[in-house]
Amino acid sequence: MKSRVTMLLFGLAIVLVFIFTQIMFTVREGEAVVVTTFGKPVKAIDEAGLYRRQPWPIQEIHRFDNRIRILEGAFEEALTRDGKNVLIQIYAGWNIMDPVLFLERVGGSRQAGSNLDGLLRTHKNASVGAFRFSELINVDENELKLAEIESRVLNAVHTEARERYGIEVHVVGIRRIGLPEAITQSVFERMRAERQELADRYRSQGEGEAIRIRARADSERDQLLAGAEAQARILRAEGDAAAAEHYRVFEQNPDLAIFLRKLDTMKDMLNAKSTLVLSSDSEPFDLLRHGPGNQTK
Amino acid sequence: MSDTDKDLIHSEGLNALSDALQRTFALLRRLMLVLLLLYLASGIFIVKQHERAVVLRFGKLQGIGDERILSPGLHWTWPRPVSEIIRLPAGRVWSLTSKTHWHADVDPRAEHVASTLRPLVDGYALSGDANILHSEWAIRFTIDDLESYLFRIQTPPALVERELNRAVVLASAGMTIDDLLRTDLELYRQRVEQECRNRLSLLNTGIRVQGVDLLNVSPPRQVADAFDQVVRTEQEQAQEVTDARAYAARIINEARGRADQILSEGETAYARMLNDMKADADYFMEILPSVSRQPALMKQILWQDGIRQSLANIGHLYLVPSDETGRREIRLQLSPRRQSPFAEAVP
Repeated sequence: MKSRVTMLLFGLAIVLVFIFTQIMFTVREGEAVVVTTFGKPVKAIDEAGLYRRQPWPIQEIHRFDNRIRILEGAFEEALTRDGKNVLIQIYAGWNIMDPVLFLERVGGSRQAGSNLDGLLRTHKNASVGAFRFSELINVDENELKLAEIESRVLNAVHTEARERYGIEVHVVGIRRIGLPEAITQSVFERMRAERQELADRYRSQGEGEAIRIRARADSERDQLLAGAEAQARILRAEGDAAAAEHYRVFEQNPDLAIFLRKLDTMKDMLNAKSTLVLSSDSEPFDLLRHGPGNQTK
Repeated sequence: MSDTDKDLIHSEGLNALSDALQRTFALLRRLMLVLLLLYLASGIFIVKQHERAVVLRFGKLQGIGDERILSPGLHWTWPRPVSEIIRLPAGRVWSLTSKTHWHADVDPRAEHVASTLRPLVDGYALSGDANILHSEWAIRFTIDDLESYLFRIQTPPALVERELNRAVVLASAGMTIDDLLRTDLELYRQRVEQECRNRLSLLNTGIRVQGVDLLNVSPPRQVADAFDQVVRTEQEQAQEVTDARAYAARIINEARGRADQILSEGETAYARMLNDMKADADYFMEILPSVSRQPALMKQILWQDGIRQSLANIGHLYLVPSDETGRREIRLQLSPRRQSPFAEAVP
């Protein structure tokens, strides 16, 4: 009897589990679910939890990953307002805002990507075409409009995607900006020319700077020496003026003073490099010729 | 065999079958109990030190507030299909490298460099002055909000990589090629980092950007020689300026020294002149009384002393006879230390 009860309970448990799976379903975090009754959407759920349902084939459950996913557009050409060809690749982050509309109009993620890609491409071309090339790249941040282009695309795609497909676009970004392959060659030529110009400029700046430094140094040297010479001359003049005080004593016998000065001058001028040619009658060498008795007077 | 025997055998068989069934059911019961215990035990799980975990019960995140995120330790929950455990090494710093703006790998031994850049093969960015540069980046991030990271974004690393690429495009487009390649690399990196941080925070991704690293940056290979030439020229000119500065320092120092010397000579001359004049005046006053008493004798003495002192120092002295008897010369070598070139010429 006990065994039968056990078997009965076991069987009952299996039946209950089966019934449970047929009349209940779960919605996982990050999921959106649409419940259809005989194909007609009757309920959309985007909150996680356990829910009741009618068993198949009365009701069907359609699950969608409702997390934000990335859609990446092609890296393709677009024309700017001033007629320049640029390559731009943009991406968008989107999820399902209206699961019922999404189920009816799109059906699945692959088709959603395709539909959204078309929208992105259209609005990307329109937005890029509204700006000049110089607004895509510019060293003046006020002139740079890349964020504005993203914003335009986002606003346009957001509205249409929501209304048409039940999709919400959260973010749009520019992943790459480039130039058509053929144009890169001319860019390289320009870059080379710019580098050459820059090298020439650096060279001339360096040379100019070096010349300026040397000239300033020469000038400073000349000024220093000229100043020192002037100062030395002043000192000598002061010396002369101070010495004049002593000249007064010579006034007592000017002849003697002049005689002494001559002697000093002679001593100063005659040195080891001097060669003197004298008459043999010159004093005191007249002694050599005349002896002690016949000196030249 | 009688009917009674047959009934007895039949009865014994039934009893044996009944016993066997009872034993089987007992075994099954125990087995079910063990399976039930094993099932319940399978709900025990460990969250490791670098991990964080969340539990979904019938798909719904369990817990309120901070309790939703399970910290490292031992935990239990109802096993599948009731509950689902999601573990992630959220405590670690994640890193992601992007070569979207980097050129295709090439054989460094290849002599020929393609004259163009192929879209989608050679990645690059445009600078604000319409030049081209290659750059390779890495971003480091942590998971700040596990719930957002798991359930708000389908592939968070893919979004992070796109946002990094976008930030590079924006930052490059606003700076000159020289700033990007040489002079303002740190500003370039900071702008990319800030842009990533702002956007990922705005999108509520649950990601906190720890930092962005600029791994490589270079001009296109096609113009690399021109860029190298600029660097070389710059270095040469810097060297020339350095040389000029060295020259300037040297001649100014020399000039200062020379100026000091001139001043010093001036001061010396000043002092010497004063001293000489004072000495002359003193000497004059000293001999004046003697000269006043015997002027002729004193002047002769003074004169001869002067001559002697002067002639003692001169190099050569030649005395020419003044008589008219013939050409005769007397040569005197007054400086014994030097050999006169005329010493052998005496006839």
